[in-house]
Amino acid sequence: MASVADVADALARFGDRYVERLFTRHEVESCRGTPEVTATGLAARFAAKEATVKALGWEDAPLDWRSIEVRRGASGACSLVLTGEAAALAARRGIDELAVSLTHEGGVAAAVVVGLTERHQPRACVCRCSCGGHTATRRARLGGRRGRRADGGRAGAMKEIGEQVKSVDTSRAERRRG
Amino acid sequence: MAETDDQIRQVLREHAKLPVDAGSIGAETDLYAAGLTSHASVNLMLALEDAFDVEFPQSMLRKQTFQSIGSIREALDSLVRTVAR
Repeated sequence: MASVADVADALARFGDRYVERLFTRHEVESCRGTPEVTATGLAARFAAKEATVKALGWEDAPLDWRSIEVRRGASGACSLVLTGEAAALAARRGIDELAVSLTHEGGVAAAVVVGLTERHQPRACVCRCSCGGHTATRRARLGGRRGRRADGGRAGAMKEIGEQVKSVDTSRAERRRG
Repeated sequence: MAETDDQIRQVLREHAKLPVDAGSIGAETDLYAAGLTSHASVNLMLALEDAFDVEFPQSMLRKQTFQSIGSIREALDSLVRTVAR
């Protein structure tokens, strides 16, 4: 979250130095307008950068705020583009994709950022329920909670889940027969 | 040292938007725990550059640099020494 008034104050006090330390050229261009529009847009972008820092689990490496860019597409939807240390940290964390949502209301701008790893991507469901597709994450969590992921890997968890599904199916068939 | 700390406290008072009076903050008090936000730390950095006529290089823009009055003093000392060389 970021206060629009705080950003407006910083713009008035520090001008270009403030902008150049925090925002990319694209971000500044995206927020052109009245002073209020500019402060609101930049506050939302700062909130997104801060949320990204937290999502990445940034510790004490030097932080270049411009290495986290909020990019506005032609439709107005925003996405995040990482460069430098931000991109390197995302790669080390195994984060393949970041989703961002920006909002502002009552003088406060806020952003939510979610990092997705390859193993969290939705995959075709292997069980025979009507869910339309469980995620690998859920399957992995199910396996982990039951202490069956001895190898700590997804392959093991998937095999275990497959066996659980088979066992449920067998029980159902037995109940139907009985 | 005490003079520098007082100057830093003055900058904190004017720019850090802390919920406590900067005059009551000890040299090693954790400023983030005292309420320093990420955005306020950027303002603090820019205000310190103005007050001490220095420029923080990218390598110093880490959380630890602005953790306490003592760590800010150390950073400023190293910048002033670099300028003096």
